[in-house]
Amino acid sequence: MTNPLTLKLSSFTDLSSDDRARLDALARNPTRMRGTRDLIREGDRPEHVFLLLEGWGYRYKVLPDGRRQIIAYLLPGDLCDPHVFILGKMDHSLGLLSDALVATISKDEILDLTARSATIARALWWSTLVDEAVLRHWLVNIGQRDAYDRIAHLFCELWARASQVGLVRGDSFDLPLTQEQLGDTLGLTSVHTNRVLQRMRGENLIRLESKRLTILDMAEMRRAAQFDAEYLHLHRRA
Amino acid sequence: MTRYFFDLTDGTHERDNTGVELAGVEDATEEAIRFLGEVLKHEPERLAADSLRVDVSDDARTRLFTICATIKHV
Repeated sequence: MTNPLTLKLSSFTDLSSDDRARLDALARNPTRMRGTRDLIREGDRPEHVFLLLEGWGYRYKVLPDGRRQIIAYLLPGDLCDPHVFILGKMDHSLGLLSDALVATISKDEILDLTARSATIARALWWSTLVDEAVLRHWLVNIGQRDAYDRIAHLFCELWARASQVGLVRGDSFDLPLTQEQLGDTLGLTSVHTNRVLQRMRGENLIRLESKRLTILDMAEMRRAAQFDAEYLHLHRRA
Repeated sequence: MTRYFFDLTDGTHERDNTGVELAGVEDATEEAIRFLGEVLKHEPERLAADSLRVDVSDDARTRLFTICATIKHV
């Protein structure tokens, strides 16, 4: 199985066999983790970088009254975060959405890696830029789109990201989210999320069962969401 | 946790066939109010029928309460 980090960074640049070996070295000695745990909490001092190899994670923040906002999803190939150890404290929490395989990388390993390979260093900058682009588009999504288009846009985005790291079969991929978590991501009540999903099923736009999403009409989903994948920077600069 | 059903009615009736599990009637009330707010925000044209309501039932489909938004013309 190809290292998902290698798959992801290959969207940006060619990787030499030495670079591939360096990325594979990051992924040796991963730990199996259960889906309910957090990797690190808001307020904690970050020391390590987590590389997700299997499973999904998420960034979130809990407000004093207990409400939760999910800020980002983390997929295999995601490094959380390449240089997080620069910060004194986490400003948000990282958790798992499913059982996962996670490699824990020390600050020294990352610094050594970026010192040895300018290509990888640049690729990590690129991946951070993509994360920022995703956040910008989430802001627009939540700020401006109605519930149906909001969910459609997120589904298109997740399909593209999952596809990039080899997780889509046909038009299906695992989506380990509850409706409540979807609602916490998009600023919607569970009732409304449920209503949109029922409507999408009724329109034969999706099949969603046992946490596996199939997009039955990708063209229509993209049209509804006005989805343009450019911001994911999945293709090489011309 | 109990399953509650949130039917939406303006001129047309949208029956909720799957429902949402919530801790109790207080949570269901808050959820219904927020849900109606979201529909009003995203689909304001639904008040063209002058009234939009959310009917909330329990898992036995017993109607518990209604939240309603209305335009009153003077």
